Parts: sequence; C-alpha cells; structure tokens
Amino acid sequence: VEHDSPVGDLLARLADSGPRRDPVAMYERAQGEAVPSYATSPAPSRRRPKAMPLVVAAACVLAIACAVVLLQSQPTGLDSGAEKPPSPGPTPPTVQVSLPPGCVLSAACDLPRSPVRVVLPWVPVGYLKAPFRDQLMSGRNGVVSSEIYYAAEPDVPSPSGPVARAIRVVLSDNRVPTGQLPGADWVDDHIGSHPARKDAGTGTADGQSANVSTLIVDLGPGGSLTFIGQGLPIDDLVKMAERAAVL
Amino acid sequence: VTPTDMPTTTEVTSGPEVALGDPVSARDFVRLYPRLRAFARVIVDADMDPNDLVHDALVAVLQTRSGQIENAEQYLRRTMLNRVRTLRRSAGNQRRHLRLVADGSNRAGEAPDYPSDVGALLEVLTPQERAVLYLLDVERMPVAEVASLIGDSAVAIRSRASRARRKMRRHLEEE
Repeated sequence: VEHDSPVGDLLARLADSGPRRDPVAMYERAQGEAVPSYATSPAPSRRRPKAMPLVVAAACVLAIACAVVLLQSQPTGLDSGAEKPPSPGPTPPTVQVSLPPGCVLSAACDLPRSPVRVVLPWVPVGYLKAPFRDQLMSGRNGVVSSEIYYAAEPDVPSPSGPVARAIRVVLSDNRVPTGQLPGADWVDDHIGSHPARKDAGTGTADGQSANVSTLIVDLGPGGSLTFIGQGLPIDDLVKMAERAAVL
Repeated sequence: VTPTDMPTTTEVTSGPEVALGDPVSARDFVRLYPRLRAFARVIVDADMDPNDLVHDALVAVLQTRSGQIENAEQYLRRTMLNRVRTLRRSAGNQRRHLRLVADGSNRAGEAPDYPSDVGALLEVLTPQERAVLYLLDVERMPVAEVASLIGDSAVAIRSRASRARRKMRRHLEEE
C-alpha cells in the first residue's frame, strides 16, 4: 500500500518487519508475571520529582525550628548535662560540693546520685599515668567515661602545683586503677603536645608542672569515689575536693 | 501495508478502539496484538524486541485493578511509549552502544531485519516522533486522538509531526 508520504511508507514497512509471537502464549505468560497492584494509570515515565513548593519548605523549616526550641526548653537531666560539661574557666566550678572532707582522705564516699559525674577542677592530670587514664576511658572499674578538659587561659592558677602528683581515684569496689605517678609518657602524648598546654605556658613537656585541667569521672550505678592523697598537702586536697562538683 | 493487512493468528478488527472495562482478556489481546506489535516495532530501538515491549505493557495492564482502564489499547500503547522513554534514558543506550562496539551490528550476531532506508527512521527520529507519524500517517488516527494517546496537546502533536517530517526529509535529501 502506497502512502502519501515517503515517511509513512517507511514507517509502515518498519511496522511490518520483525518476528511475531503467539499472542495466546504471550498472554498466558504475562498473566503469570502480573502481580495485582493498585496502579490506576499507565505506567508513568520516570521523571524527576517536582521541586518542593516554597510554602511546604517554609513550613518544614518552621516546624524544625519549633521542635528545637521545645527541646531546648525541656529541663536538662543528669545525662544531658553530662553530654557537654562546661569548659573550665579561670574560676573553678563550685556548683555543688557533695564530697565531705572526710572522704577526701581515704574513706569511700557514697555519691548521692547514680550514675553521677564528678568534676575535679584543677587536678594536675599530667601526673596521671597512662594505664590509669586508659582505664577511665575504657569504662572499667565502673567508670563510664571520663574527659579531660584543658584550660586555654595562660594565666590560670594551679592550686597545688607539682605537689598534686599523688592524686589517685579509688572506685567503690576498692579496685584501684593501676598506674603509678607520675606519667611522663602520657603527659607527652596528651598534654605536652596539646595546644592549650602550650598556651598555659606553665609547664614543660615532661609533665612536671602540667596544670589547670579538669578531670571528669563518670561513675556507673552505685559508684563512689575515694580520693587518696599521697604527698599532697591535706589542706590543698580538701580544697580541691570542695571544689569538686557533682553534676 | 496497513496494520490490518499484517499476518496474524486471528483476524484483526479495524475501526474504533476496543473499550475494555476489565483488564484485557486473552481474546481481546489476541485481537489487539497485531496493532500493538506494529506500534511497538515503530517506537522501539534497533536492539529491542517489540514483542518484549508488548509483553511488558500487557503485564502492566493485568496488574491494574478491574474497571480502571477505559481504553485498553490506548493504555497499552501509552505504557509502551513510556517504557521506551525510560529504557532509552537508562540502560538502553548503553546496552546498544556496547553491542555496536562488540560486533559492529545493530543486533548481536544478527543482521537487521528491515531495509536500510527504514533503519534511518530509527536513527533520525525519536520514539515519540515515530509514534506520532505512525499514528497519523499509517493508522490515519485523528490528531486529537493521537494527542490523547501521547499525552500532549493537539498543537504540540502537529508541531512534533511537522518537525519529524522535516528531519526525515532533510535526511533523505542528504542521502
């Protein structure tokens, strides 16, 4: 059949070319493959999703902002406070003194809340040896976690100076973290190279005068702390304990 | 040659589209198959089997709920056209190019089963343009009906047909 246009003729020839199949067999096969669905229109071509309308986007932003405000207005619990403790400043935190002087020396102190976070301000942690620090960090002996925050201010005073080398922490089950003092190797690794340490300008890389740091110890349920001073003036240790804040 | 002249297993009915409220029955599909296959042959690329395209469209129809299709043939054709678009955009071109590189032919290990001048249609015109020209020039479908099937306006269909003819004419003159 001749068509009006050569293109029509070509299309007709193209349409007539190629193999054919048995439509009955095709239908039966398609029936086997068809899975009922709720499609209500011809299979759509894959197109890019339309851009989100501006109104919808603005509503989403507003909803997120409201959620953030609501969350921030909620009273922060113990755990939320523990997430981000305040960075130490020139003045040691004295939020709550819950460790009586008696427990500073040797007696175990039952902390009022569990779990609890104890902040020891101005502990010259440079004298804590690596295994001790590692145990704190690894959560053994009931310690959940610990963090050490460095004071960046160069003129922050250190209360006890080098005499604080004997600070140790004993946990409630009397398991004493191993590690002796001082820990120059740990100091080299953690404090001597720390930028804040250099800014402090009061010590050297061997940790002999590492200073102005805050040790935060998170105890597990029922945990308690005992502070044992060796070679540290008791008055200084008491002062330090009084500064300890149970958050 | 018209679709109704093509050899089929059953006699093909011409005239108005077959309106099927339910998903296509076997009897209806047998009747529609020659026209669907011819349409598929026009819109597919060289490396695609038009029967596969018909099969995919039929599966899509059978997956629809009963009573959702007003015009089964139009639904099948639109589904085929959409699928060709998708295939061309995704793996179709890549597969075809790989085959061309592999054996230098349009189909792996086989010579094209259409004349070379017909093959020019596949190179010059897009599937949509081929579909428009086929429906207008071969099936003699009204522009409004083609527009409904393609999912475009009548003006756009006329414009697309004119552009496609111009492209083909230019191509034939160059040859």
